[in-house]
Amino acid sequence: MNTRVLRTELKRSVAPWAGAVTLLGGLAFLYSLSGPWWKGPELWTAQWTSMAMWTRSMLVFLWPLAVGLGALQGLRDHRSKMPELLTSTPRPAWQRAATLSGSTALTLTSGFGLFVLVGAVQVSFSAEYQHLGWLPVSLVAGLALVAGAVLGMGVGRALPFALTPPALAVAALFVTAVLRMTLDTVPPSSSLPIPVALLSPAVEGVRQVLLTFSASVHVGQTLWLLGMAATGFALLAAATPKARTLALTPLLSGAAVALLVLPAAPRETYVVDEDAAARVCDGRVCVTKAHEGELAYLAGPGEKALRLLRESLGAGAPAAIRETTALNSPLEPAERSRTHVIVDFADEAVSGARGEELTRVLVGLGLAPTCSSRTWGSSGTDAEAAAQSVAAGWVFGDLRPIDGTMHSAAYQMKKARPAWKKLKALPRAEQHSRIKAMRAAALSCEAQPLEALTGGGSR
Amino acid sequence: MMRAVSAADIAPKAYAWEIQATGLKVRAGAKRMAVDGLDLSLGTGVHGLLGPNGAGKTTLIRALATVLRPAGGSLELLGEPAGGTGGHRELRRRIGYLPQEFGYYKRFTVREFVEYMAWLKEVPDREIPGAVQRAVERVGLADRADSRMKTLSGGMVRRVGIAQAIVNDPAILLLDEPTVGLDPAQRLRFRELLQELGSDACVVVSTHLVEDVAAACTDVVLFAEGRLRFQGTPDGLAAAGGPGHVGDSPLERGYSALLSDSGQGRGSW
Amino acid sequence: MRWTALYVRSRQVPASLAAAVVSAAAVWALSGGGSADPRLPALVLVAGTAAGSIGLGGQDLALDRTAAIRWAPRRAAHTLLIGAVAAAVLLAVQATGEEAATAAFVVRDSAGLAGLAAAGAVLFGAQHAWTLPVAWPAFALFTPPGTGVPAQVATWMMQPPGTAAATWTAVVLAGGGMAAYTLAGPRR
Repeated sequence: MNTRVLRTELKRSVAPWAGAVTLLGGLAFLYSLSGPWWKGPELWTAQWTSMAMWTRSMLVFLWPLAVGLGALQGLRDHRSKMPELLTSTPRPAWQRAATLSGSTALTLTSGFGLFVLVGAVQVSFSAEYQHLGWLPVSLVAGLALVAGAVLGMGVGRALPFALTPPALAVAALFVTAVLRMTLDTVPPSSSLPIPVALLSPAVEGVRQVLLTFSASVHVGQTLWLLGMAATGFALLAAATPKARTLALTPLLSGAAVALLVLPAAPRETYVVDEDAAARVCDGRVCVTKAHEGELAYLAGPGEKALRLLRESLGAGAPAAIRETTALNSPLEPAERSRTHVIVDFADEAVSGARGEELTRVLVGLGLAPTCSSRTWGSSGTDAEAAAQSVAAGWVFGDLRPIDGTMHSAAYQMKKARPAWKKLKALPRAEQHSRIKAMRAAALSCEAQPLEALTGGGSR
Repeated sequence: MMRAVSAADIAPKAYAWEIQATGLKVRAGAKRMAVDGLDLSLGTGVHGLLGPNGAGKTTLIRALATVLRPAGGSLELLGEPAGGTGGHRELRRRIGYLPQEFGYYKRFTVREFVEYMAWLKEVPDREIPGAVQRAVERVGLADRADSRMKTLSGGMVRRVGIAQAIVNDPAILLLDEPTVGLDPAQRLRFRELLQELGSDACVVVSTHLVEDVAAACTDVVLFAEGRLRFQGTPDGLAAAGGPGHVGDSPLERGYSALLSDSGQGRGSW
Repeated sequence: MRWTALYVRSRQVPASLAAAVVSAAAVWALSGGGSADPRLPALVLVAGTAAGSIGLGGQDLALDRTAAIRWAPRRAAHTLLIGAVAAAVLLAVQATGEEAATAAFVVRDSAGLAGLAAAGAVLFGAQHAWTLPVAWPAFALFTPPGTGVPAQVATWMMQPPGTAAATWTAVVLAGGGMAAYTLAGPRR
């Protein structure tokens, strides 16, 4: 490939625009808005996988823009009335197509690469857990941008109408928006099968820090995107209607193979990253490798909470603390254990508290484990928060709300205070058995812990 | 600027004529046979292709440029049959072509565009900068070489078109109405350039302007209704006309004389 | 009548109209016949205005500008027409299923998006006019919901009808875009 020609294309085609849009569009979105990527443990610069997922989630609008820009580029020959001259030249059309798509691919991948780099530099300073397991997420994203742009160029060249770029861009927006919505909805909507929804290269961000895509998702999406790029390239180089029809083969076969490879069940789509979920312990307090850094402040209050629990519960008390590694599901209750206090750093009541405050939270979780299903960044229900504040209050001797939950202190107190008064009015031994009943109710997840505390019925 | 001598330059010519057509038929669109049974042999020199509107000049030039495939007859360019399947890659490297409707990339500079075309014509990478500079200088655009194409006037764009056509030192140079948009001074300069080029290449210039032919061409090809009407020197064309024929110059009178025989020139245009 | 027919053809209105109808039907089919999500009708309107925007310039701008007719009222009418057609297509498709978008929502969004398309034509030329009405919603579609005025302005096309900030944004876009296009015409 001639470097002068490549340089010319880099300067004069949409390539520089495509690169700039990718880099600045992504950064502008992340930095100008406050979203879940700035909060809690899903913070986009906290973990490598989170960074890769958040940067890739920007594809929801970057990908349609790449497709549209590619289509504009594909129209260039027709708008410039160049086909006549081009037909008379000896150089094979695929070499021309390679220079054009190569220059755009170069700027798109550099733009996206720089965008990822901005996050990567911050992660490398802040994350305790360093690994490369996130790379496929970003590599597939880069491939998606290139494949989208090349497909746009090919379609723009095969259908040289003014309507083609907007139609393609809006169609791509449909793909990322509509397909994304079906993955988003709770419970996952059944209107589209999961493999079809996974054809969208965008992801919805970070649901849970420990989750990553399964290998089959990467493989399936790569096959689909390679087919897309191959079709775009073939359309760009094709001269006859027959060749254009044939050029659709890679796209269709790529889609067919991808649909076979892509997982059909949600459980096989997002999987727990086993390396990141490996256990790291300090005494009886264990966290995952991904959250190794949190151990420093969790260990001390954790030991203290375990001691307090042992004192108040006796033999049945939880013997250790560990971080949950279960998959969150809107349909299933959160992970609970009779022998362990389960913590989740997505719960800001845990990740936001330190020292004595954290001990209180852990004691609360030990006596009244959260049972309601966890979704994005949420803690338990208001009743659960109230039950935990009463339980912690019972151990510490004073009733205080739990900070960091979604429920305001006043709201928690409104629920907690009557139960607290009822409990304190009972004799000590009765209090003890009520607390045990509450714990059993929370663990079983079948009864309201607050009701168990106040004696069966609400009266 | 020295030009590297390639094997093709020093090899003995294996053909008698650069362009040789026998019974050539070329379709324009789906139905109309725009070139219909043409016999033509053109060698080194400048050949002026004359004819009324719709005579099939552009169709013929497009066939010579290997853009259109002949529908019948035979066409040999530089001794190689043109019109079969295959890319004519070897042949196309030695053809220069300026289409009637010259398209260009507006955002490119003159130099970038001519470089791009040189690359498409598979000029060896090392020779491209020199060949581009020479071509741009020959059309008098050296001072605008780094201007964007969209800032050029119509005449300048036409000259860029000529520059890209000659950048690969073609053995066959096809220029479809190259003088459109050129001012009188530029046209004089262009005629000199044509004479230079015609000394070692076969140059075919399609035009409506009879005076261009008189000044620059060694040979005139008069073409009407897809067939050859006349081939000879400009003097020969002038001799065909008499005082009774329409026209302001001997060449124009010869032109109308040869066409009026066949009933051409019907209607007021 | 004859003039209108020629004008409509020269501005590629039939193709735009077909694209708008196809995209509306596609969204409707994909969403399973209607849902309460305001993003879907907004997307349909984006598709309609983007498809219509390519007609904001003629085949030859120099020739258009030298024409003896007065362009200003025609340009204004054309902008209005893009919004009206996009709205009509959405309402027509919607009539067959469950109603997701109220008339007020449709009027606000189609007016604002048509104004954006007109502004795009003034800034980038008719062929690239679609970039504005596509890029803004693309950004806004994925913006997390917020309650502040800046957030409401940024996601104006997704806000429930009656949100003052969103309505005013649409009014400013529609008025500004139409005025600029009416006075200046598409960029060369």
